[in-house]
Amino acid sequence: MTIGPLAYMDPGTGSLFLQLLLGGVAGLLVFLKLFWHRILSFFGFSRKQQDSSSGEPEKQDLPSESTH
Amino acid sequence: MSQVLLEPGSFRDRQGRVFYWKGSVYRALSETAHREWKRLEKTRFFQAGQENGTIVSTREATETDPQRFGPQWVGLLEHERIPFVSYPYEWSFGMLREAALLQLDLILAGLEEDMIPKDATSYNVQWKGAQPVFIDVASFETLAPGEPWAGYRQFCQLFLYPLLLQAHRDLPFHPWLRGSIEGIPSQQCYAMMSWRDLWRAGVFTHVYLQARLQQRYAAADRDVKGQLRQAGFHKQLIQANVRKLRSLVAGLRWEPARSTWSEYASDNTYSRQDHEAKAAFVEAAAERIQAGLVWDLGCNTGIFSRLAARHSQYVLAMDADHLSVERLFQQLHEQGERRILPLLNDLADPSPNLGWRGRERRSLEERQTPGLVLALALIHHMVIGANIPMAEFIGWLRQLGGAVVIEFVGKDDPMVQTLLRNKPDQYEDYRQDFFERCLKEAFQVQRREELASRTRTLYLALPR
Repeated sequence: MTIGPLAYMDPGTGSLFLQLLLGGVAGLLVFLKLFWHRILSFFGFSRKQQDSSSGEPEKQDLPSESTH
Repeated sequence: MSQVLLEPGSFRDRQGRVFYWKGSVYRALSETAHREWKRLEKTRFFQAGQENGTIVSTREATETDPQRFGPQWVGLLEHERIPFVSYPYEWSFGMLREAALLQLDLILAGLEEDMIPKDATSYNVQWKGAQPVFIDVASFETLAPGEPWAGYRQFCQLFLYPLLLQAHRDLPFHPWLRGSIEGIPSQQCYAMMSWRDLWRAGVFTHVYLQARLQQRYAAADRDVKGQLRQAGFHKQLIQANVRKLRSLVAGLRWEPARSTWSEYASDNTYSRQDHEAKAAFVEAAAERIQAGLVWDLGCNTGIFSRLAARHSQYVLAMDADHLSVERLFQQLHEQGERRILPLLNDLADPSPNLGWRGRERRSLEERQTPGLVLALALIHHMVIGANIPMAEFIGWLRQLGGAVVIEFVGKDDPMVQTLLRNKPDQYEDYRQDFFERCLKEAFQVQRREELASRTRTLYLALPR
């Protein structure tokens, strides 16, 4: 993972994601945005359907468990 | 010309390095760190910290060329000297909690002006007596928009988890922190919690969820910070987290009813007469020696530390009993005491050299030795309690280099009888004549006073 020029210790990937849940309501909104496609697919919507139905383009690879 | 000494424990952050030169403490800064310093020194929270003493007193040493310390440095700061450097595994619960609150308060204050410490280690807090001081000025950097709090995990490992384990499980954090310089990982903290603890404030999120997420994303190779930024992460999320953490930490309590030692002052067998004679002896000795640093070994309630502090610059009040140190700290902290530092140390197993090359954290003896040592009602615990030979204990005291006020407690004393109750008496070296012979070989005995109870004798001894 990329870390800033000044970061000399590993902030922990999991710990960074957790900060969304700890950030209150505003954090939850960011969390939903980041994990939206996983939440949808959990309820049976695939990424393709989501793309075509909402018309929203995918901005980036979204977090998943697998590590390519 | 005076020699420049490198602080061996300051290597982790490549943007700065601590040096000792001509009796002062300097921090050399890289170009980036120097730029951050120029911002930091103008902030309101830094100036407030300088005034109220919560951030170590710092100035830019423009009169000295930073390159004296190495070609890579472009800036130089001079810090005030901390009277005695101590480590979190020597602090009581309340000390670690106060240090954590200071760290969180500085994060909140910094965020108001868009700065944040790049780490959150408990080693960045030191003490002036019972008042915490944040020392890593070069830790503050500008918070870029959308950046998360990089020090969150470290805060948990070195502040929050030790406090939670002590508060909820009554597990002392000292062996953990002494055994692991990075602190307690979330998975290990979770393993020590019971299912009931998951219902307690903060445990489910900061311990359980963090452990799960760290496992899940352990091998993640993606740009998490970039993803968070794009998804709209912002400063208010850090503020919300830190504010909640602050109230969580402030609410933690460790309240054991009593320990072996905590009731010593009320349970002990001294007569009032003995006690008064002892206090007068100690105060006269402290007044005569006028030490820069006093070690009060086995300080218990700290009553003799306070007497010594009247005539000395700084006192380490040390005890192996956590609850005694905690109670002393709470009193001293409330009184705003700045010259008595309470520390947890077991003299039969004092803090060793630790970390990279064994130089990162230094042993108790290597840090700074005392001008005066108080060893009151201690010798029976060392020789009979901890099986340390009499001659070796006196040899160790001599090696410290200072004067000694030492109390010999005879075998007929009730406290010694208690120690011997369930032990075979193999302590032939525990005799007053042998004690005096050892003492006189290493020291010049200046004063000797037998207490009225006749089982105890006080000595003031100067090193030969």
